[in-house]
Amino acid sequence: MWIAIGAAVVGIILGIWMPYNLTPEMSPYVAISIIAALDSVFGGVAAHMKKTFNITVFFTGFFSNALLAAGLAYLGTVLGINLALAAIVIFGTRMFQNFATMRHILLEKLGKRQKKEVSASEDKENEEN
Amino acid sequence: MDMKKLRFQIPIAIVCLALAFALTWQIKGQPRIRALEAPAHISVLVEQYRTVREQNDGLRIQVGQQQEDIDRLRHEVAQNSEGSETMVRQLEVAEMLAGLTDLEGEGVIVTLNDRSGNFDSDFAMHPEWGLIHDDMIFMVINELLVAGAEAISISDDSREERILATSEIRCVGSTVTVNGTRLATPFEIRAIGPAATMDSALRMRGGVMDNITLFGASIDIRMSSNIEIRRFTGAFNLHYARPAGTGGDE
Repeated sequence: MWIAIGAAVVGIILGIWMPYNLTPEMSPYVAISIIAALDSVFGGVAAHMKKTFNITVFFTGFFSNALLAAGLAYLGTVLGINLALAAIVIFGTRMFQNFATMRHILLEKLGKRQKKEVSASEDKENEEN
Repeated sequence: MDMKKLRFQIPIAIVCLALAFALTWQIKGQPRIRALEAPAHISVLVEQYRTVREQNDGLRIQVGQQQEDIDRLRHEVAQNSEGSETMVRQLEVAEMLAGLTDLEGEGVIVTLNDRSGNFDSDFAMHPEWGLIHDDMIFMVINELLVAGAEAISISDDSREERILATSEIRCVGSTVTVNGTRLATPFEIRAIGPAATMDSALRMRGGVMDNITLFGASIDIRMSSNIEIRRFTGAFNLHYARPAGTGGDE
């Protein structure tokens, strides 16, 4: 946990320190890569909650999705159509789905805990009576 | 820390680092990229416009100096050779008519301005109605010529353009070009000629003044015993016309 947070802080510092600025031409590709990477991260969290998380799948997916998204966006530019839109729509949808999955799992857990508490208190009442 | 845990944490750390870096870098670059777009173009254009305008002003001064040189040389020629004095006088008249000399004399100054004040519903539908258009300037100039004007110029706050035989008067957006120079309202039309005649010609009932004020534009006529009209400072370029009977090269 602490290693991950430390790495994130290092990443932020590196980003602020970075002496080269992104050129306006490059910016959209980096942006679409970030969206793809974010999607991978949320997918990973959702998978972790479903207990199907696989670190190799997550790690390779993170980078290959980012590269693929940037590559698609570039191909779109070359062909003269906005393929970046396809990536945005797909990744956006998947992020929403992952959030939904997370919410469902969280609610399920919460429901189970409440049931337990309710049944426990009922037992108590029965004993008292 | 055991190996299994580490094997799990290192990729996560790499992912966190990469994502945090990319996000920060991208966010940091955005204001600069946005600044590079639209406003930059405008400032570049403004700069270019300024330079061209300065060059233009410089050239105008140069033209003025060279015209003075021509005047001086002509004077010398007139003094040196006999019989050429009548020719010089003829030339002077021709130049006065052609707009190549500064003139002064009795005349009127007509000021045209756009409608001012709030735009009510009628004008909201046709905002162009209260503005000074090229046809209004035509009307004024035509009326002045009918009444006997001998020299006419149009000016705004910064430029004065002499009306020549080849002068165009044309609406370009919210400005009007005369002799290729953009002028903006309020326009001042100066005319040398019989002041009282020109004044009453413009004020005729149903005439120019009524037409212009109909939709709210304003016209002001001032008579003066001595007005000055500057010469044309541009260059003449005749590509097609030549004195008749001289034949062509083609």
